[in-house]
Amino acid sequence: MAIEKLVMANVVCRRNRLDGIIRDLILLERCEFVDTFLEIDDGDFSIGISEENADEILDMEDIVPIKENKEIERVIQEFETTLSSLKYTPKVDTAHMRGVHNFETMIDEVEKFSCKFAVLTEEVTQIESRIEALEQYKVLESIKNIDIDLEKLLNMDHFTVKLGFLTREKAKRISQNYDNIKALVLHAGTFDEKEFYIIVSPKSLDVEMGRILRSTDFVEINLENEHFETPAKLVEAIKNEKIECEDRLVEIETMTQKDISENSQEFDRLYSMLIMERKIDQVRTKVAVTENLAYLSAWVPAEDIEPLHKLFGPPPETLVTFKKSEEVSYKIPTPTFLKNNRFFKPFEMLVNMYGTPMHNETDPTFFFGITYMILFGAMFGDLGQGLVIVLAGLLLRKKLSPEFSGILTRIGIGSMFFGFIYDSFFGYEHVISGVIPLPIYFRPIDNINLVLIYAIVIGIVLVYISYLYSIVNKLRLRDIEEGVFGRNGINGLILLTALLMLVYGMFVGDQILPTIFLEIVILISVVLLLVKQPLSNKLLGHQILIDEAPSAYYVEGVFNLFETFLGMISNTASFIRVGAFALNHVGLFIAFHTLAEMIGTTTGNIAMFLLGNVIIIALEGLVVFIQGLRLFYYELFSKYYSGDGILFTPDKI
Amino acid sequence: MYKVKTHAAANSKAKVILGKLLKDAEYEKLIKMDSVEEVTSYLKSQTHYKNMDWGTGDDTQNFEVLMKKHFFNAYEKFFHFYIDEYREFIKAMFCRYEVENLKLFIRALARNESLSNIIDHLIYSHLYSNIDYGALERVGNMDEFMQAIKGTQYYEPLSVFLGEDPVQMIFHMEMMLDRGYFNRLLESIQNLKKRDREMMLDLLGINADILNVQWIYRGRHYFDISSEELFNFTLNSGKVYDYKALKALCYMELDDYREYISKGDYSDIFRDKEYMMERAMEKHLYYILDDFTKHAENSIAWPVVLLFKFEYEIRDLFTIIEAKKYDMENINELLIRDLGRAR
Repeated sequence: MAIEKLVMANVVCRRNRLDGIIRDLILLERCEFVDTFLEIDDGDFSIGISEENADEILDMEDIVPIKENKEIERVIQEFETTLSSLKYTPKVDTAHMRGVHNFETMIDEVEKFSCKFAVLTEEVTQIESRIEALEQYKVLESIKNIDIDLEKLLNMDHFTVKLGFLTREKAKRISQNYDNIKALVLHAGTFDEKEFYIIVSPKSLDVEMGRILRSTDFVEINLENEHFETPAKLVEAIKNEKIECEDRLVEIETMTQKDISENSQEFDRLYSMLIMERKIDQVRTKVAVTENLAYLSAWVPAEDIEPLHKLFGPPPETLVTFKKSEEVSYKIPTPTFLKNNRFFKPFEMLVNMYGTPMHNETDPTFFFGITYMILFGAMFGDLGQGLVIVLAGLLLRKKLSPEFSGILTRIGIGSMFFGFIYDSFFGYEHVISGVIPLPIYFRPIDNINLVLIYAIVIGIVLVYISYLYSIVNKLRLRDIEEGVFGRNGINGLILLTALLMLVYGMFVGDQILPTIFLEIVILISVVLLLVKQPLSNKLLGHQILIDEAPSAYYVEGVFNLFETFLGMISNTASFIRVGAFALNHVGLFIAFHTLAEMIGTTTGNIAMFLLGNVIIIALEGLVVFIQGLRLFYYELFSKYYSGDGILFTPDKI
Repeated sequence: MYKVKTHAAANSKAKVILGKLLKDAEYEKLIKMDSVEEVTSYLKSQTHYKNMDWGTGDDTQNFEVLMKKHFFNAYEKFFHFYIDEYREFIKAMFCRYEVENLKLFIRALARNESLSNIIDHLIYSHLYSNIDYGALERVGNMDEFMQAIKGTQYYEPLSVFLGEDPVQMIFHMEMMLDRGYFNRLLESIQNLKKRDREMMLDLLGINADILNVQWIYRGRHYFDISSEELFNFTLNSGKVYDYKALKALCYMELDDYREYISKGDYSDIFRDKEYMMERAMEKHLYYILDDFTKHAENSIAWPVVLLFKFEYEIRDLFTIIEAKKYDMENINELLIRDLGRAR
């Protein structure tokens, strides 16, 4: 339930074993491959210097990258064309990818299928391109009222007639130059935002006219092989032919059903292997090779070291070394491998939306998950509506991303829990307490002040927790300046505590510690905030005490103080919204309830009940969802969480 | 109010960079230098080019690319300074470089030349471009080229040439690309605010005129293209020559044409030797630029003029470097600017 350690695996193997190893690693779905040259260039590719490794080390002299194999993409495309003419969508299954495969045999198999279905593929492509051509002829609709035999028109002895498309701009150009162009240019209609023109010119000017039309980007409609008569008849014939073509396609489809059912398993197997081959090839481009050996680098989870050793087999077949992330060059940033249990996993999405934690930071997902459920529940507490959200999450699992539906179910549970405490069921209070009479119910609308106070208390607790996270994170990075003296460090925590006690004393009149003592603590704290940089540099024994000009540093420090005080008050007060939304939730339903009473009829009542609940779930649910996020991102995360990390994304199919 | 809001920051930036551009005295100094090394070391130490990343190589080709990249950074700055229709305009201006890049690819593919030489010299930025240069690098023929630019604005217009002989089609493809750029620029200018729109239409109009004058001359003189074709390929929205004038020009005999132009606004284009025509065109533009910024506080003119001047400066510097390399005399005749000419 945190950030899992990653290690860099450097592997040396015989070239003939390379593909097998890459395949196994991809199927493992636990490795993120890194460009090996980044490692080698930095002299970091370690394979353990010993006498038995001498060959491998010496061999590294002539190291080169592997080029992408364009053939793979070509074969996949060829296969996809065959399959699409059969109207078959292959299923990719990793089960087919295991074991040893040979790309050459795959090519042969693809060729075999292509040949087998060549006639069919050919016919389908032909029909499809024919349909496309016929689509273009639709434009003739616009001249179908002309009662002339097109065949005669297009085959005149002394005139050339051309049908085609021009852009509006170019058509204008021609019309501007009509006096010099020896042709009739007739606008016949607009089709699909293109202008349809008929151009008539004397045969003797064919060459010249051809060049002129070329300079206007004229796109001619080629009617050469068509059977003409009048445009109307041609349009009719084209329509019929199109229907025929489509019928033929359907016919072919039924005919091929048998072929598909006979071969579908083969198709799936071959296609899956090709997809694997493509993925292997992608990884191969990150690998470095010499004549006999291959070198590859990948991030793997530290817990996988043992199983990986087994996978690679004993040396000398493969040599593997694992390096801790701290030993890896800064040029290859360590990704972050988040590992949370199933219940909290969906919340990773919301955390990543702010930023992925750094690999050496504390993962906030657990804290975020629990408190987000509490905050959402407290703001949107209703047993019935919560249940709707849970059900929505469960039902929409297929349609939405699994993370988002997971979040919905979890916050729904939070809402149900608080709904029970609030004694609220689809907006109606006293329903739950009527069925299960217990002394635990707490209705927000009856305890307005208490609700707001509780909200602040929750806020204070959360702010304290985030201070603790912040201090731990900063001290881990040995950042004394911020971790100890900073406003989000120990000093800030003390300052906040003293301030809260002071405020508590002022309003409640019940002093926890003497005021004068608190004031002295605040004063010391403020001074420490101002001199945090020189102080920590002094403690660490650095020569330079302040990085910038002292005057600038102190002026900035004073403004920072303002911000610190303002922030402390506003960050805490901000949590009042939790209570306010709990009240708001009830208030909104009261409004709908009143409307229902005004209508007075049973139908009106039911309609208002439904409408009210839909609006509350959709609208207020969304608002509360966002407000909860806002509290986290702004009030809490900004304190302790940098989110500058890169997510670990293992290579997989 | 929009003027300050939209332009204040970009104009300040433009003025700062304008102030740093090389002065005539510095050109004189550079011209008097003895070797390429002397010129480059001066640029590296005494001018605003000292801030750019000079890398380690020292061949002149490399300088050219590095300086162009430096220039391109200026473009990127203005991209960040503007939003909405103004950003669109900057993007459209940038299109020119993208079009030039694509032309290089088309030419190399049609002539079966290697693409590897091109790639290193391309200048582009992903801020503006959705062309996948990585994919372009790998193409082997025109079909693959078209596949690689699928999804960009250039695919649709070029797709009509698919399947035709590329050698024959180079001319038409290039024309298509150029026109695409021009139309996009025009369209983006139409969306600017009134004052900026008028200024930019004016500048574009002069540009279009000059290009048309050159196009008709070359088409007539070297390629024997028919008048109708000449006319079809001319650009719209010229400032002095509208379509009627252009039509007349397209049907003139070459000598009459020269005479006519020499009497008009663009007489300077034919004043020099013929091979200097390109230079004369740039010269004409260079010397009208200041008119645009004269009474145009807080306007799009400043950044645009800067980009022009910056580019011309770089070209002049290349000219000097090349001239030093081949030991040429009279370098100042080859420059876009006339040293010592009062503006």
